[in-house]
Amino acid sequence: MDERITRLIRRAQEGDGPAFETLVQMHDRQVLKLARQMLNNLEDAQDVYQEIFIKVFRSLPSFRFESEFATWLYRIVINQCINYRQWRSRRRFLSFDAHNGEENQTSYSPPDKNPDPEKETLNKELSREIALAMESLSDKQRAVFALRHFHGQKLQEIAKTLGCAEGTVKNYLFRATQRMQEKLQEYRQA
Amino acid sequence: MKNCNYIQTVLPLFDSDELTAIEKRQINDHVTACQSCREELASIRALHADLQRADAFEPSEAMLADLRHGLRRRLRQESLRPGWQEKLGGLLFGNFRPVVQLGFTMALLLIGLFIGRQFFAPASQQEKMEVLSYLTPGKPIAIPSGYFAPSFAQVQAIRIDPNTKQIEIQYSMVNDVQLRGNLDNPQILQALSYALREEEQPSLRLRAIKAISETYVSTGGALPDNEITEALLHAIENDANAGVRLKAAQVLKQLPLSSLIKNTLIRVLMRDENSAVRIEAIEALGQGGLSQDEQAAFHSAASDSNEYVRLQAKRLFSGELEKAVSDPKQNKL
Repeated sequence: MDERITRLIRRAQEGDGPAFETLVQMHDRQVLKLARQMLNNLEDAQDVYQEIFIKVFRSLPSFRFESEFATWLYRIVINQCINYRQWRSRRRFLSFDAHNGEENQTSYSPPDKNPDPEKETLNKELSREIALAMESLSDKQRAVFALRHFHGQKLQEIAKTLGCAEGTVKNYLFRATQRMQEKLQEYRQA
Repeated sequence: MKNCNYIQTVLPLFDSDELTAIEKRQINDHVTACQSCREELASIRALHADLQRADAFEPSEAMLADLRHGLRRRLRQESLRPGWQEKLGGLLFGNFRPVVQLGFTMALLLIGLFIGRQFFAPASQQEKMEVLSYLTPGKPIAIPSGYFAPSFAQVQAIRIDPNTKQIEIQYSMVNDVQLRGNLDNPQILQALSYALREEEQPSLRLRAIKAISETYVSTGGALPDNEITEALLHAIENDANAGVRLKAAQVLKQLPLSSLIKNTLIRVLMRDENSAVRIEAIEALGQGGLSQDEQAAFHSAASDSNEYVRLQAKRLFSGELEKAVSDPKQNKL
């Protein structure tokens, strides 16, 4: 583990607020991205952002440096997101509030790198389709797919994050890839 | 060569560096030869290209600054600095968690063992013997036709005389009695009669009838006691178990047909739901003369649901019984 992160964690464990804030700043971008990929909704991801870091703050004294900090953090993110999705589906069921899974348009940053308006529109549409296709995955499949394709994690790292065997991760990835192919095939044909 | 199922599970990893060179060569060979896997790989590559091309979500600095500000405020508001519970938890379950857990488990185990030994351990055999030797006679007490072995059952009352300071204990004993004898022994007859009338287990009631049936010859063909006959009649008429009623009927068939037996058998013939019992009853009745009431009973039996009962009733009614009884072949249908 990075020596600087280790020092920050130790200080944060002793109650050093600025050290904890630095840890947050180092990781929150990736945390927010993963939460949004897991929840397919930016507002929900922003809601769960606070819960994740409060959980991290409370659990940090029990972090024993047995794994990478990022692995430990991502595990918290995924568990919080799964809990949030369950809570959200119960709330929607009780309030009969139909949710169409549409992503808030503000969640997409302005595509500075892409000046072509037509291409920009197509890419936005493709992003929305990918997000919708990811909605059809199970929680574990979605987590594996997101960590693999949007966070560049290797199978071994994903297995540590999810606390399961590498073979299981491989299976989740295979199923998720199949499902995504089917869904995006439908989009392409449409 | 690997099969398609296996190849397709690892195809999503084909373009990564997570497969060995050998695995990659195997997959490559397979894909070259197999069209469906080749198409699958093309489809996966198209998906990967879409994922690359799609507009990736990138939170702006302003958004992150807002979120961090909100988090800071919430942490401050809720005073989420570790409280005494967390500090205590960290002390107990921090770096020393396995040691504390092991110690806690051992302590619980020892407390459990102590409580078990103090309050729930059974008395040792020696202690038991010492107590019971005062309360229970050492040898069974002999009676004329057997013996009984009393044993301690329970203490019912303990009183203390305030003047003499003497202790008075009232306790009960259980006497397991064993009798041995023939049907001429009144105690045996009484016990058999009781078993026939009151015993809950059908097997014991059957045993009682069997004991009467098999030792009946030794009494010289007549039961010395009316009580046992009454018990048999009670059984044939009232016992819930058809096997017991049938066995009682078979024994009664061997006895001289008194009016009491005859009347009971007529009632059985007219009411018993079991055809085997009715057959035994009609055969027993066939051994005596017929009165007017009996003729009415046989008339009723002539319309019985059981063919054999109907046939026997008709034979008896038409005076053919004597012939049937004297000819065993004809009697045996």
